[in-house]
Amino acid sequence: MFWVPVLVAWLQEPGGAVYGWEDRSGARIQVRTLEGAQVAALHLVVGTGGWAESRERHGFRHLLEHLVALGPERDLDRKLEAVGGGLTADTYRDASHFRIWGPAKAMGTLVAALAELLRPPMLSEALIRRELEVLREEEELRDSESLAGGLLWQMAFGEAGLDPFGDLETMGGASPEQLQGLWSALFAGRNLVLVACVPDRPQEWADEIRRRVSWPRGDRRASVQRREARPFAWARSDRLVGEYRAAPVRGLDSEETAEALAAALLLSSKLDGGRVLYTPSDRPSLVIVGETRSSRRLAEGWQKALDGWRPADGAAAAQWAARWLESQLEDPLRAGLWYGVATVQGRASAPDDLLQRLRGLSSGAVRRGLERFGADKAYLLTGEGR
Amino acid sequence: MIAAWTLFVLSTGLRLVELAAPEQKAVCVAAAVRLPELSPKGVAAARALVEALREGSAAYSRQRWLGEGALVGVLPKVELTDDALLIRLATAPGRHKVVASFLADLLRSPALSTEAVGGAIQRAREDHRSLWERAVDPRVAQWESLTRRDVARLAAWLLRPDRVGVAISGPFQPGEGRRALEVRLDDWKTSARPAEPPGLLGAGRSELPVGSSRFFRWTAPWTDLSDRGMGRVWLVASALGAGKGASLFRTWRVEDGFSYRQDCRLEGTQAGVALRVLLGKAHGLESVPDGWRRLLAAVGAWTEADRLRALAVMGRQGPVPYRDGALALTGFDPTLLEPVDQAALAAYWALKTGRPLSVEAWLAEARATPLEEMKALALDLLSKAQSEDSTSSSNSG
Repeated sequence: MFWVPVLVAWLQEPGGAVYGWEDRSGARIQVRTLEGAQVAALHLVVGTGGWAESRERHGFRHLLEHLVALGPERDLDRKLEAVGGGLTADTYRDASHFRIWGPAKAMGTLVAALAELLRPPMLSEALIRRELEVLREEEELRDSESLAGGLLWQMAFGEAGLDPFGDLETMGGASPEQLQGLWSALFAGRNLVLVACVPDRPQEWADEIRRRVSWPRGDRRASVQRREARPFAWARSDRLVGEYRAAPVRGLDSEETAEALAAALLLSSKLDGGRVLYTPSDRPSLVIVGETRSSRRLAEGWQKALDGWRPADGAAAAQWAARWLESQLEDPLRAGLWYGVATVQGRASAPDDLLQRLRGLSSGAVRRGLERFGADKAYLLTGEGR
Repeated sequence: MIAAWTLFVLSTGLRLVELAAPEQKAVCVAAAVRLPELSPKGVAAARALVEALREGSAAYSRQRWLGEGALVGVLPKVELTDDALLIRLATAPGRHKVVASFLADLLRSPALSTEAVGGAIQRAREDHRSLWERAVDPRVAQWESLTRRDVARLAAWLLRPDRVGVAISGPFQPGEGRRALEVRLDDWKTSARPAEPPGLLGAGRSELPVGSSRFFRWTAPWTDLSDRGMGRVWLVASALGAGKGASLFRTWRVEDGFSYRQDCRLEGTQAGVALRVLLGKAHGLESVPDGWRRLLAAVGAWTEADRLRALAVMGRQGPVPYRDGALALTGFDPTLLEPVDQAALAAYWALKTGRPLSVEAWLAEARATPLEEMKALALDLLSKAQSEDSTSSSNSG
């Protein structure tokens, strides 16, 4: 096997020291040292590979994620838990994220699990049917936050914002061959990024990954679906509870993302059931703030925050947002998603750039961020359902 | 190695535990307040009290709390469990005196003005919890006749040093954390014990929610809170429900495609703790009894690999990423909690048992439990478990 090691960069803080290279398949690998971390985590981020959600295959990526995460022998989680580790998987609009984690001393088991995860899955009608039953149950247990996110994205971006959870009827038509084809398109070459977050010995981790992991090849160049924000709108849903506002932002480290994130954190802190929903992406995206416990208090809280504005509020919110992102980027279980998505989208340093922006954010910028959640600048959703 | 908490009992009877943890990135304080069994009206009063406490104390507003938490990216929390009210705060290293002042002031001088309590009742009453949250805590609350005075009476009755345990942990010298709390709580003398708040205590009622999914709950009580008792029941809970290799996930989700979400929790109760299995299910409800039988069969087939997997899960370090924040006191991998949640568990354990939390001792006992004993205990607990579902209601007592 031919490898091209590249020393990407040496950083002193969040993000830690990085050792990275590109495999000849095109897959990109980073080993990040997070000193003092209690666990090691391998984050496999799989881009959409030109397979963004569409009505015709709505949810195929989610279904595939369920099937792949079990591993080819359907026992990957058990193997990892036997050494005190684990595995989680999530599907987002711009990437799927598989996280293998455990004690650093179990390096061999963790890397072997990654190698298994990258093997072609064994798919059958029976397995797909069984997993669809699970997804039917998952659909009924989705909470208001998750449903709100799905609806707001569609309000903002239409077909380009389809909920990655998927449509059960469409998923029901997926054949093993279709999913195999999807796997081949997604788990290939430049569509794959591995971010290994380890407490120490980065060189040993790099060697172990090189030795044991075989990266699927692929020369497919992903075409990226256009995502353009639509006019602002308001909607009501009886499927969920709460009140939500979504501010459109462009780029992971853009000024508007930093402003909106800090403002959303400030606003959520004033609410009893305050939540901020944001998935890292360098593409047009949404920062969502929600009041999950009432369908009346968000608008009031937003107005009060503006009317009673003090520069000290903005300064505190900026500090908080910076600290929040720092803690994400220092955490081996979370950092990989940020760096992985940024890398698969072509800008590996975007999370660090966002952190710098947040650190330098002025109080006035936080106020501008707050204004981004106004009724004339954001997508609004209220729910008075279950 | 899991660090050991040290217990101190103040002259007022208040129990205080401290953990000097040099590697910790935040100072954490927590309080546990012992709850009696609450009537439906008492549940409503307790939920309103939680809302009121979230607003802070007379001297330290909610915004000041949030500002402290923001220094380390941790939001303050006030929550109810079946047998406790829990308060959790965190701040930056070096600020243990500040956060100790917050906690002491909240316990001693909560902001319970007529207006504040009125607002708290309204917020608590309007609160929309998710279906799963309602299944985790299905106690019925009766709001109709609840008054501000009821909430104030409950607060006066609960917030007394002999009903409270507090904990502090962080990167300070041994004794520093204890002193920070002690000087602010040692002279916490309350007047003669107030009368029991009328109508708030007594038998409660639980109703599992009905929505797009139905919920099923099996509860097995456990009263042996010794290290050996806790080690054994934690081992069983872990083999059943901790992780995706556990029997619940493996049997119901991977092998049967029967459910998406299922949980095994250890939860504090008036009598001790309870092992609870919780299932959410939307389709094929008639198959639940069969599912339960398949689970029992899977437990009966446990091998040494299942025991070792459970022990490995129990012994792992660092917060687990898929906890969903549904801590209770339970979920119950105590080694996996965030430091602020560990502090809450330590405060609770000191209050409940008069002993400092010793997860190491529980682990040692769990490791000494052979497979056959683990299996027999699990089958015994599950076969005796009381079942409830969304279509029935029962007394929680």
